Amino acid sequence: MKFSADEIASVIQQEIDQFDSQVDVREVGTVLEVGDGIARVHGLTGVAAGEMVEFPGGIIGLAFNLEENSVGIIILGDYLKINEGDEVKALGTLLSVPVGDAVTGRVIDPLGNPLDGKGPIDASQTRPVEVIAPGVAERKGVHEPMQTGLKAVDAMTPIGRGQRELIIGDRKTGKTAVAIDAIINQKNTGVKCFYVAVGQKDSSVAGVIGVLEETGAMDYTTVIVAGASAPAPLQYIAPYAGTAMAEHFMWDGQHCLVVYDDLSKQAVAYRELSLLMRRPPGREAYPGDVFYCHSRLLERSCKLSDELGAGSITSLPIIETLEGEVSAYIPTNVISITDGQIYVQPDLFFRGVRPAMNAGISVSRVGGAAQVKAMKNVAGGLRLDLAAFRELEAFAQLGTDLDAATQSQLDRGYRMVELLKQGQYKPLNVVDQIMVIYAGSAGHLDKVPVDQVQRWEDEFLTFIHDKKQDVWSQLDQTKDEGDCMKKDDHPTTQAVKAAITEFNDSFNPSFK
Amino acid sequence: MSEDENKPVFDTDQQYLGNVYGKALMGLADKAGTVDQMVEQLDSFVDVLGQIPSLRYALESPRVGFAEKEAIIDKAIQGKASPEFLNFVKVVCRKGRADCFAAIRDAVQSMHDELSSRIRATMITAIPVDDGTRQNVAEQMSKILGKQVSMASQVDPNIIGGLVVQIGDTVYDGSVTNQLNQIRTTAVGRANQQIRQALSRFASDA
Repeated sequence: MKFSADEIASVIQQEIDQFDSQVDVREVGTVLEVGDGIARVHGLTGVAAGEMVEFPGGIIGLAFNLEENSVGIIILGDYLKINEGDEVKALGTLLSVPVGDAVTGRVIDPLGNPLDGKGPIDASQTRPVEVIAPGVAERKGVHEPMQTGLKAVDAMTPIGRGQRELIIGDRKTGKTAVAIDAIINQKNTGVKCFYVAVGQKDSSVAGVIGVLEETGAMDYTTVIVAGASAPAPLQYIAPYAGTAMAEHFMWDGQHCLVVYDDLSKQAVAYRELSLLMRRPPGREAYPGDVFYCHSRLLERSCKLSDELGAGSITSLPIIETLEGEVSAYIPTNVISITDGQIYVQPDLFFRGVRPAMNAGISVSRVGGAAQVKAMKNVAGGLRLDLAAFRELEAFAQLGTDLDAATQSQLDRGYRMVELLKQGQYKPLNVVDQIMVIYAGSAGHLDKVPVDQVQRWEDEFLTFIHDKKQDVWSQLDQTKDEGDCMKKDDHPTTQAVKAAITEFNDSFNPSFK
Repeated sequence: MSEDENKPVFDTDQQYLGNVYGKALMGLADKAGTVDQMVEQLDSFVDVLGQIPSLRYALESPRVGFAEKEAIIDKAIQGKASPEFLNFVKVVCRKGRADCFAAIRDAVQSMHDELSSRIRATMITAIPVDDGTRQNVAEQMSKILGKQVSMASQVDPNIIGGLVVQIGDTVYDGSVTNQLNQIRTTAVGRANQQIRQALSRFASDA
């Protein structure tokens, strides 16, 4: 490709012809000290909290602490290039990020700068990073399902559009996997996804982006990265920046899914900033307003009322616990803010139960209203049944003789646990999920050996899609009817039951 | 006033102390009805401290006893300054705050300016300007701001040309450097935009 210098020169010449010189009026201060991502500045007497300032070289900062004789600035860039005595200019605006279709499918930093080498972000609109969440009058109840494609989640802790569902667990228990599956499952639903990586290893983030690209999920996903090597101020604002980008679509009447991976690292970044700013430390050395830091973020995920276009932001914040300690400061805070939580546990994970969700203590406080009716009918008692099974299982290990009823409850439990296992990056359509869970909870799998349940599931779904597409479509159309899969005389229930029976007749349990 | 002294105090602790002592001195002067005189005395005293570093070191040093300091102060300014000012200097030294005189001067000056609705401004030019021009700029600024402007001047060749006026934390930048920067930002931005809109106009596959 050959560039024509004359054409470029003509554009610049035109620009110089039209240039209208103006006296630049600006408010300035002087850097007193700089280090560790923060600067103290003398002057800037009229600056507002949260206002953007500019250092020499175009480095952006944010007024964080307004003190009697100085201003504490968090530096959103390379602080090593700033010197004592440098002039700081107040920009008179709040921090904003580019929004709109231009950011979809891109990998960007929290300020909206591209990181994927696909050229500049050509966004015509921006939105402030920090805004107040919509008030009560602007919202409505959560009522549409946000399918994650995971049987365990969609059946037992259903998530609705506009809900905040926490994913909490120790390291290496598959928290991110749950969220990534949920993103992959939004294909062809029109839901815009945002994956906010805070304090993650760049290699992990690259892995996630690789999976999203492979599965085609990158077409509707924006990845906002403030990695482990990014300065604390960038890690701190990343979730707010991601939410601002999602809000653009929400106010446009669209639906969004935001994954914050993870908020414990954001809290650590905020603690670092606050301590450097000499704000008083509180419990676990976090500043007093760390609760507000998370609550004002998660309150922005909501379902808007019909008058405002009925858009929504669903958020899946992730919190990493240490040794299963959920009563630490940040986990309890975020648990109390969100509308439910999915606990993933290492012992389940290593036993091969993946996703390693603990059904007994995972809840969804608002998702029930948003669950597909047919799913609600087949999985209504599943969570409690599984919790009861876990207790019974522990008891049965003592080797006591069990009566027939208890034994059958145990057998059913083993099969349900097996049925709820699901491979990574293989989200299932909700209709498939309903059929499989119905088969398990209605006892159609009682004759199938436990180690054959997963093979049964695979072959059954192939059978349905290849030979019984009509039954599948029937369930798809009637899944929102109140009686569907509840009453035996409902035509859909009968059709599904007949299909399962037909398949069971041909299923060979001993085949390996 | 030299360039150095016009720079603000960057030690915020000293600035705070300067405000406290400055307020006390202004109160004292107000009571005696000698505000202008007091400000002048303080100004010249701080100038002297700047010119004779050994005097400043002696007053600031913790190894010099207060009696000795008092003797030095008496010798230096008794008879030349008002008794109130003499006492003030002694009190400041006795409290071990002799290092704050510059900060006190800044605080007193800004309080005095506020009282007499006057503004201090600095004009920065690429080459030295004569007093007439400076007066002219000061008058123009006075008209715009509706307050009396006392203008100091600085020379900074980096601005290439034009004029920069700084009042407090606000900078009115009419320098050539700033205009060149503005042209660069808009021209590069526009060229970028147009290249992205119609790449074929600017490049050919050759």
